[in-house]
Amino acid sequence: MKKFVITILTVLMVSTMVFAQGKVETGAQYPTKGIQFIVPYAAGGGTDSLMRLLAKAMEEELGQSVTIVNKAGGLGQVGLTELSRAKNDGYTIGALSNLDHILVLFTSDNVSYDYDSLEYLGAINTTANIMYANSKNTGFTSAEEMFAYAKQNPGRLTVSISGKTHLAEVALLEQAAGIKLTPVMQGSGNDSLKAILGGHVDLAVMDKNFVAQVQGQGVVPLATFSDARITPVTEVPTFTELGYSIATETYRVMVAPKGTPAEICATLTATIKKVSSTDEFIEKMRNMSENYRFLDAEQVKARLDNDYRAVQKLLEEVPGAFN
Amino acid sequence: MHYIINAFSTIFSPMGLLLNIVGVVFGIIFGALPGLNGVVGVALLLPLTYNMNPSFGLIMLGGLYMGATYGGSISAILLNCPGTGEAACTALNGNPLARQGRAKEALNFAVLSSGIGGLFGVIIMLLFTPILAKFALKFGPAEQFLVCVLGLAVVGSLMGKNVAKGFFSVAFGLILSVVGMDVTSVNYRLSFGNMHLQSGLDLIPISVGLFAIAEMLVLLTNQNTGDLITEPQDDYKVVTTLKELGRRWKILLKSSIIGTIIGILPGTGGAIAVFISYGEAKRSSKERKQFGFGAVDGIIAPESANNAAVGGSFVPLLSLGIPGSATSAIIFGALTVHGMVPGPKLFNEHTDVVYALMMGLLLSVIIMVIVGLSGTRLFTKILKVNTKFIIPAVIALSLFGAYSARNSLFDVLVAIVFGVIGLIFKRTNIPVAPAVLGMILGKMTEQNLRQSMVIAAAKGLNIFSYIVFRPISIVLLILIGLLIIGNLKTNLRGDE
Repeated sequence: MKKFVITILTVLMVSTMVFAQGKVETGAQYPTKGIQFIVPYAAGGGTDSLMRLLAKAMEEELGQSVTIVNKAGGLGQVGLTELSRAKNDGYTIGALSNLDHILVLFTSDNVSYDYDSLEYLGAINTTANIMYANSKNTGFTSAEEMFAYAKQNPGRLTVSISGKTHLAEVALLEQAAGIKLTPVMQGSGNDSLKAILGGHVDLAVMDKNFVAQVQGQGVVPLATFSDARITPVTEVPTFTELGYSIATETYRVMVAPKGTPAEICATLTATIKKVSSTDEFIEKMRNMSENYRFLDAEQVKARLDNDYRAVQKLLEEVPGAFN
Repeated sequence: MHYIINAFSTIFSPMGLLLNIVGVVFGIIFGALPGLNGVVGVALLLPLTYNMNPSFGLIMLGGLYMGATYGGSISAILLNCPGTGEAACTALNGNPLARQGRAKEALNFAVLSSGIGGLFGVIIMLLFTPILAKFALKFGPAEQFLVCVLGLAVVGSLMGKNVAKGFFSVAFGLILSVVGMDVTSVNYRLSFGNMHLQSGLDLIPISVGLFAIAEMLVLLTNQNTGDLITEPQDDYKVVTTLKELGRRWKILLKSSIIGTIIGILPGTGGAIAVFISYGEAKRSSKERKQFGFGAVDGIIAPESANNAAVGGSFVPLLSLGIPGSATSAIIFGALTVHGMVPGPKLFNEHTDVVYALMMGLLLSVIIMVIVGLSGTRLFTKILKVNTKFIIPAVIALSLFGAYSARNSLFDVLVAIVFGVIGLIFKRTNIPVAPAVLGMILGKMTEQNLRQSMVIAAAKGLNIFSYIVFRPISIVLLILIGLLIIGNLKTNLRGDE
């Protein structure tokens, strides 16, 4: 009898916790209840911080709660799988990072969604990666010096990277410059930072935001992978300027499951545009070292298509790029 | 100097005090509840700090971090369900003490050791951050690998009589850590095509299952009568505790140092500090035969180490912008939202905020000790609650905690499965702690070893010479040797 009581009590307590739901209000205009915003990365990271800022602003505009739910794993795969399977009623949306998304589609096994499983709503930022060198150990103060050494010593330079995007960028660079580097894969940008500051690797590919953090510590940015010089690090030349035709950028895209009604998608895109274009929001983004660049649904789809084709081309020419 | 005075006025302002207390109390609660821990607590309260003055926000989060690290010991001692991985070792000695009627004693030692360790870590952080940060950078993949090996060598101290079962347990943990995506090759391992396994197994649901749920299942299958622990509880004065801690100052100091240093190393957190200091304590303690059966040193060591690690984990964060632990990584987010980039510039550009955080942590330690000591009587009342209510409550809270780690129902399933596995372990006398240790250290050990191999190959060096012929490595190798020899001696002596 006692065991039965215990079991019933346990089931009741667990059910209350698991099935607790928000209130559903009746009404006509979308949104009539809270929206779930899936961030497929861990809390505290770049994508997460930016999306939390956006979610809060959207909340104030829409008058309903916009709750961030972190579902990290597999370069965004876990969160995006869940998003692609969610109800497409407009109450579950999410975010992704352009290159991570496309690389997962091309190089991961058992991905249960594809390029068309999502509605692409818009983008608010753009950032780029930079190749840094530990100049204390290597003596490199410019990209040219690094290339010269690398050509003479294939495979000797170690470059710390985190994620498939960096792997792609390094592969493109190797192809364009005719050199061979040795990538050392890390779990996060912070791990790369630690490795290069400590002199355990010669080079690192990290986001432009790390330029401020490495100043004065014997690590210098050599060049950026973006197609044009990028604020706030406009003193860093682009690989393109130096004669190597590589151009990649990273931007976060807001997405919804396929089949979300067109009016709701349009409302979401318009809301994002409205709240992100205020001076206050742009200022807050700048404080987080993020550059504001709004793309609406068609524009972001066009850019993504471009990135998709670029990766496709790379894989055709260099099939082993991601091993 | 005037920064410190300014910081004092911030932390002692009504708002500053209130937020500190709120943070510490919430932290203790989160730490005590199985499955919830400092990481979850900080992530939950993080949005509240966006609109606050950054100093106040950091004071609150710092208090939460400190409190949560101590909080785990409460459920570890009273219920044998460590609330966090950092309290796993505390349960090994704390719970036996509670069963002997010495719960108050155990709780007193836990909170005072946490306080002294925490104080030590914060003071070191205050005084030596720049130097220590440079020191931390010198720990590359080779050194980190050896730190992990040192951690794994601690298994010898956790094994008990049956060496084979101990090895089985740690091997089990190591295999669990392999499941998921391998960072170095970006490939999935042991995932069987299942999307959930592809993101790897999270430590929280597994430790919640192996510790908390398994313990509840043991109680359930034991046909217990009513009270959780029937042995009457003795009183134990705080003053006596302090006198005892004075006598045992060596172990207190050693564990605090170990905790602070491990906390400083980015990527390692309180849990690893706990295991290493536990292993060292067992090796050098006069009570070593009592370890696992109610040795007070076995509480002092882990509790002081994990709170010392809190201060330590802020060293690389504030000076280099590299978080020293998962919790401080989220606090990193609290800084960036206010436009403050952690790193060398932070000290110069936002000195007031940095000092507010540091001084706030000092105050958090004091608050934590006061709350903990005054709560001891209240906490021990849990032992009088009928198991009829404790079992469902702990199971429900544990499952809830398992879910909240990654917002995943799969993790709830994992917790249940590992609850059953834990039950089997406990019934067959297989120690559970080595499995958790294996899980924590497995991925890190392998990743660092493989990175070392890649770098050594690029430099044209033999992997052995790359790892060994470095000053820090030699020190670590000596420590590993000492630990292994110590464990061998204890095990070969026969009776444990």
